[in-house]
Amino acid sequence: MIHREVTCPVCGCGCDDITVKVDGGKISDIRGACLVGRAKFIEVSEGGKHRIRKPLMRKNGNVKEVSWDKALDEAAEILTSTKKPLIYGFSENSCEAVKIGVDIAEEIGGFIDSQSSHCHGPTILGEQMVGIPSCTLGMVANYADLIVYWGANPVDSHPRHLSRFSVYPRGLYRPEGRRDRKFIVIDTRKTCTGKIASTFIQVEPNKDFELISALRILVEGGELEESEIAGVPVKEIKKLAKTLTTCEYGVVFVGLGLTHSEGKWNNIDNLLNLVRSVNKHTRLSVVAMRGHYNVAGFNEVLTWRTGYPFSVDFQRGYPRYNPGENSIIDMLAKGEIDAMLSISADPASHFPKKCVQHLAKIPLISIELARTPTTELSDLVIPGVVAGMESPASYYRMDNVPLIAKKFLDPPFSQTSSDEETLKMIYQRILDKGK
Amino acid sequence: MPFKLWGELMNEVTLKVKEVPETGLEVENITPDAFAGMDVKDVSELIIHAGKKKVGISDFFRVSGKTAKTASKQKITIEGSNTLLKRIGEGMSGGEIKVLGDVGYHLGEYMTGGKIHVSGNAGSWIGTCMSGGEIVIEGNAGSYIGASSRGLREGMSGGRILVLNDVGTEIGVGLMDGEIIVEGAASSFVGSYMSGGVIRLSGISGRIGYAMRAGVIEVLDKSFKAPFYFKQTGEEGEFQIFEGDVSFKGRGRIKVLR
Repeated sequence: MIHREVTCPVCGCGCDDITVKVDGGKISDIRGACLVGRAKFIEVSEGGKHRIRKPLMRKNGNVKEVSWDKALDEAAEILTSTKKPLIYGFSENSCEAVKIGVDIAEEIGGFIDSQSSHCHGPTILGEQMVGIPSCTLGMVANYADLIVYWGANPVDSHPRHLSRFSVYPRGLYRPEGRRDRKFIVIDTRKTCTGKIASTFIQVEPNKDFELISALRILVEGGELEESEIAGVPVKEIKKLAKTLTTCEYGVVFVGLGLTHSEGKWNNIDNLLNLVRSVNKHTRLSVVAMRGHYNVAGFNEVLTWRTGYPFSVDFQRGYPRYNPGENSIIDMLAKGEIDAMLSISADPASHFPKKCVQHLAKIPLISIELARTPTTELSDLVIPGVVAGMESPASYYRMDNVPLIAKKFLDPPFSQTSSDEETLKMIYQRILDKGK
Repeated sequence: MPFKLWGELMNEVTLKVKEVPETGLEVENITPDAFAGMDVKDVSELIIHAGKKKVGISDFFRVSGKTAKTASKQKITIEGSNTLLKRIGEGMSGGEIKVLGDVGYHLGEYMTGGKIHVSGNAGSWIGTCMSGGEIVIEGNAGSYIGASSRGLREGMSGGRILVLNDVGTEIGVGLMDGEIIVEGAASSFVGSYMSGGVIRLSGISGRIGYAMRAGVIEVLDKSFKAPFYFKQTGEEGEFQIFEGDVSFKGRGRIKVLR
């Protein structure tokens, strides 16, 4: 059977124009997906041997298969009997699952956090302080004549971003596509994106902040006495400032290069102030290059439910927010968390050593698709379902546009139809315990 | 030391830490304001938060001493404190707190008066948004000292903070008035968005004065070089004066020892 306009549940581009041919429960052809997306489609369709199909529980050091009922009871027991439980993950789940996750966190008086607290969390902190003039990717494709990627390498991380939304598409007011646009990349090294850009600016590592400050002085009409700032000749900075102020409509895509170098959210704060200055002359927007396909959706749903976008603390029964104190990395490194539910996140592969060491000590529940370093540390493993392939999902693209993903495969087990349903079953058990 | 601590004729309550759970305690009720006018027995029943559980002070502390009628006559001594105790002295308006040991986050947050003395190290968010009173830390302190809370531009608006050793990043962010004195060195982003007040440091290892509009930062380090977004405007006694942040058309001043 051929499924058209299938969405790709991998990166923040959220491509929704993919055609998939399914024969006998397996994908036999994929059209339109990039290599990264294609790999995920094939992995889900054919990765049967790696897939977790039954819940696993560790007792006295031995891992045993257990029934779904027992696993869900145990999950509810761990979450309700501990003092500071944390629920983490959700960037690869549907918004509906996030909603149940917030309900669970509120009911158990714990914490909820997602990958955004250690990816684009600084971007959000900057946005909250300065405000962000943003736009949709459709606006970029139809209007923008200046594209700047700052600390981002979409050729490797978001392969279809340039061709679908930013540099190459022929838009309403950009009929010539690439020829109608200027394409600038600012990064610490010449990445694959830097190689195809019309202008590549190499900034010294951890010096983005100085480059932004220099640009803002020039845009505000000031002068620079130095000959070189952040490893970039002032002549080149002047040229860049002129390009920014004379474009018709420019868009800056912010990557993790800015949020993870020295200065973190201050870099974004400074950049958004620069954009504010440039907007006195022309029009400039900012879009964050979100990684996972629904990491923006987590922020949207959490903001809708609690008023805060990430790192929310429900210990007092009402939401509190203080990244740096209540964000997952800080709490794990300080050893404050005493139980954790990780959902399609695999923290053990990505977190600092100290955090993973603490994860190994505490009761850890993981809802995962396949064996990962996290499942090896877990006390309870519950099989996951791929949202957007094996279950329908609503999710938010990197520009905060909501999209609907359709289901075109069946999950390899019948006990649950989606991660949302699994979480609902855990939530019901927690509610029953409270009665 | 410029601060005079320990008034006389104060009634003292001593809290000896029995044990602190690894998940930490939030003790915003340990303030002279909460203790004043209560019996010692009632004090031991005041609520503190251990994770999501509400417990009494006596569950984790041994309470002894005498309470005063008003907050300004109340002194509290905490013995055996460590970094897992958060929010000591939050919002206090008078009296004294003496901490023997380390403290965790949010010490003296939103305080309007009184004195806090810590004999050990302190965590981050010390004196956040405070508008009066004095805090003295004898050891090191973390980040966001005298800064603004998340989502606010307005930080500390009065009072004094003295740290006798090193501090972390982003101290005095959004400082409007008051004084922060660091006898050791500071890390990056000192005095961002400052609009008044004074910060005095012995050294700094990163950026300084981002988006500064008014106020003074004194750096007592001859090798310090002001960033390019500050312009030298003259000399004053033994200090060089730099003015900025020029990209925000600010008139903040960095004074660097010649």
